[in-house]
Amino acid sequence: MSIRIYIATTEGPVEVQRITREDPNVRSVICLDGTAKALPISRAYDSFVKEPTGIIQRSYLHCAFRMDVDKPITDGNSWQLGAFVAHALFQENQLASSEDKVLNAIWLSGEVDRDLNVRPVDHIEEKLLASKDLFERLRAEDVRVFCFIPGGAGLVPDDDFLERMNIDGDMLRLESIITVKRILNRFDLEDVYTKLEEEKAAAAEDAGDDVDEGEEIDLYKPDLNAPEPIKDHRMAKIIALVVCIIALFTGLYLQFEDNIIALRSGSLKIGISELRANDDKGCTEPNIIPLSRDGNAFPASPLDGLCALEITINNVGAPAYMWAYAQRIEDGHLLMADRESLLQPELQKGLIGWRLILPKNLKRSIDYRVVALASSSPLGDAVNRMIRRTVENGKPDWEAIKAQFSEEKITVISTLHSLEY
Amino acid sequence: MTDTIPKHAETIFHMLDHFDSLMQKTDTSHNIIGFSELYAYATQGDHVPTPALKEALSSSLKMRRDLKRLLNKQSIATMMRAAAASSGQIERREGDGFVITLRPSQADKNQIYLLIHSEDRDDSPSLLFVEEENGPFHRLVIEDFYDGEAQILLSVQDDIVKALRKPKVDVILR
Repeated sequence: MSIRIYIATTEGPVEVQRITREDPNVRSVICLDGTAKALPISRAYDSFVKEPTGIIQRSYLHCAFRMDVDKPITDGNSWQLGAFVAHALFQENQLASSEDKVLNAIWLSGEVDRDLNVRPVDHIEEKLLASKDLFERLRAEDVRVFCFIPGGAGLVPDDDFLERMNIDGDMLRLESIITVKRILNRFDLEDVYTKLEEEKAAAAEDAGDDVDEGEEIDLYKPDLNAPEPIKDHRMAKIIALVVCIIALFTGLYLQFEDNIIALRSGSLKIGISELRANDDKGCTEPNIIPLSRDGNAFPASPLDGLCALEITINNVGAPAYMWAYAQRIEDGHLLMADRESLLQPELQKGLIGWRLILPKNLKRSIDYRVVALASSSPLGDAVNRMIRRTVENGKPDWEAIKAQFSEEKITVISTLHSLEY
Repeated sequence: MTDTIPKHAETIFHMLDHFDSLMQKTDTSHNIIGFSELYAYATQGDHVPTPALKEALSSSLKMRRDLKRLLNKQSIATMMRAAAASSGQIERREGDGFVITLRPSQADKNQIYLLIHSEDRDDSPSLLFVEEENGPFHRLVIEDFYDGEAQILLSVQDDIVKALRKPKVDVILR
């Protein structure tokens, strides 16, 4: 099923109507609504497409395209992310034309650099507001909309704004991203990063070739003055590694989902840190990398090298009964739910946290919501009612859950986060 | 005096009057086209020709000759009509260090790319004129000439495209 692309602008969303491969001797061009009117940004688009500056030719091996859009795009570079993803879909024959009926649409704003990182752009809120009518129309047509914006401080609108926009994480989702990879993976599009890596490797190899051919080193010639090799106890290391892996798997089996480690006690703000494998000691002594929150979401965490996540709540107000859980969006599965602290409630303030250890064989992206609760009464009963309702419905209805907690005078905050495979 | 004499006189009077009005109109149309307007038309991309100028250029041989003389002095490059052996439609012309090519759009068969490429010149033309044999001048504004190249997407039905495809036309870049 094809997917429709909307490029966000402050004047409203611009639909990508089609892309056509053109004669390699012409420049790439963006035209208005199938007419011969080339938009002024065509020059920038040509640079975006054609090598050596362009990334489309490098990724999709053609140097001249024509893109038709339904409304003008005047200036700036925030069209680049939408244009790139439109090309990625076009490559897989999944770019919807104006006439196609679609189930999914992607709304994007962002600049894309040569390494396919998504760079910050301005006026995100204005662009979202300018697209409100479109979002409502698509919702009425049962079309799911994925909005992608750049990650970074101050780029993601605050919770109130998102609520006003009716961004519910289901039919209308907003995600901040730092690279294009997340979108390619999510929609199962060609992984152009492989080409990028190959290109980098080739460049490095070329650089190596350029290093003074007169100083070739014969790797096989023994150096008579070299000291005796140090014995590295390789066998012992391998055995130790195997023991560690077995211990790790055993630990993961026991700990994932149920065995969540309560860390420490502290306003009701959610924090997420990545625990990434240390270069020397792997996941036994991981590096802790706090993520910077942007409004309603944290930047996605690539699974590669990710050992665990640390989720914290910071309560700088009066002591309260606090609890947090992480729930997979697609089916409501609880990834983190600390039963102990529910069964033995106590008033707390300051920072409390949980560690979510990830299975090593996790080979899929997961989108989930972290929810933090605080109340002057123990939370066990309210949480049980929430879980029962979720189980009955089969899928979490976040608006209903939020309404339930509000009725029960429970302070509730939430954030979205994704694990990216 | 007979009756026929007044009738002849009346006829002659009407014909002279008609002739005068024709002459008066012609003179007026020429008079309102000043040199400065013709010069602006020939040299400035942002000049918008008045209906009177368009009319004069289509109907007055003298006006077209004035324009041709002006362009000959002001041109960056001139591509004279294709060789007599040329047959069929012309898709490529070259001369004075410039190449003009027509390439059909893959996206729409009714549209065509006009490419103007500078081979060894630093000049950036802003206007393209096509003079048909015994016919009108066609003028196209070149808005975005950069890196030695301009690309303009046109309808295949555009008069300038039709003219460029004819062998017997002169092309002038200004």
